[in-house]
Amino acid sequence: MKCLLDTSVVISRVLFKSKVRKAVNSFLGKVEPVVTTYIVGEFRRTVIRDVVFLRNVIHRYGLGEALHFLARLPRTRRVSNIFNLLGLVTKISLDGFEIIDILDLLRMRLEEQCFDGVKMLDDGTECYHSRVLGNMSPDGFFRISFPCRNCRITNFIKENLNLLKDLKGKLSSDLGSLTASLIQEAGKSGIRWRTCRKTSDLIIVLIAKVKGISGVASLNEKDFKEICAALKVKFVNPIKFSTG
Amino acid sequence: MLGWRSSFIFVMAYIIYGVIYEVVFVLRPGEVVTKEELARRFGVSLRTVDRKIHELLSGGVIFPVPSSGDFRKFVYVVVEDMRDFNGVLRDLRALLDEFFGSDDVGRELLWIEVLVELRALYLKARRNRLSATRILVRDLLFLAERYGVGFAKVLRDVLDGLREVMSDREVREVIRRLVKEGYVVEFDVEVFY
Repeated sequence: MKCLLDTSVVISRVLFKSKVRKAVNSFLGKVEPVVTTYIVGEFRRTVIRDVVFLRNVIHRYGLGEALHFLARLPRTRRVSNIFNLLGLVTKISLDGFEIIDILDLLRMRLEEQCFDGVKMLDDGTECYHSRVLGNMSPDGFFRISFPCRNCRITNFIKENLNLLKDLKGKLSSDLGSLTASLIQEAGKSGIRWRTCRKTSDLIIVLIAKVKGISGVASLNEKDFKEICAALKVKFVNPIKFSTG
Repeated sequence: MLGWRSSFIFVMAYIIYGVIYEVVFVLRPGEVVTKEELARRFGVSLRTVDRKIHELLSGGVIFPVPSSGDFRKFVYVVVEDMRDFNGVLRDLRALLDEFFGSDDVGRELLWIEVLVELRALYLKARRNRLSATRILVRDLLFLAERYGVGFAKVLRDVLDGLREVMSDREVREVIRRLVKEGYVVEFDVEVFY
């Protein structure tokens, strides 16, 4: 079975407890895993961006000050993830310099390990973020930015507008209103980056439907299950799949 | 002729600094050792090591590893290594040649030396923060510790192409090859994106 992997699944191959890693890797051995340009873009603008952010904060302030700085931030999911990453690298390093080296290693390793053995498909969105790599500055900071340019996400949504209109009535109020804003923006000035990020789960399932991929795998069961059911795409949770 | 006071001072100086010099020559830079290990290596009691640790610390020969719990339990040797990056690399390659020329028992012992030299290479590579070589050497250190002697052959191949200054792109290529061959680094942390 061909299965489109969500970012949460590819991340879990490296940044999860060994039990989950084993379950996900055994699942990937049983299906034909694929990812698309949009998912690579999402991967880079979430996890790679956070790794680089943490690296640069430690480079700028040192470990102690960086902790004070992070503690003042509101506790969003992103900040929690950054704290988890910090906990990980502190556990396996001896001093501030080594933390930066491990984060740099993580930046390179993550992508190579997460997408190992996974087939890459072109989904027609041409997400610019999937091509962003960043570079090291002479001042020791790693520069990486995620502007939205030259992508074809609006065209992609326009081409599949009928599917989305059908979908709108089948979803709960939160997801329904997100779908509505997607349809509305596609008809006007084009999809805004904020909407694109908010509706990423929806876009991933839509890509699977359009590309004729029979299943979508994610660890984020809450939203994906509903969208997959509405679009008649099979939803798979790799952990439950492996444990039967 | 030396008086008894001078002789006493000379003997004390030998006892104190003799141990320091011995530590300098026997232990390698960057090596992490425990108090028990120091006692075993120098054939002295734990009590003697306890007493000498103060002198070693104040002499800047060793310093305690941060966050290792009891500050006297682990010590971190930071003696200046006079070799440059290429010197360490050359020694490491020679060590690996010796490794492949010896029997299984010899290999087990030599592998410990390889790890110590690899650590020294990482410390040298860290001096150039703008070169991506330090990232690759840290990666090799992770893998060497995880896969043990089975990693020796790949390590030798990678070291053949290693340079003091490498770009991100070159290092990424090597890491990609390592992943393709099944050498992975695993981290225990949960993040939800």
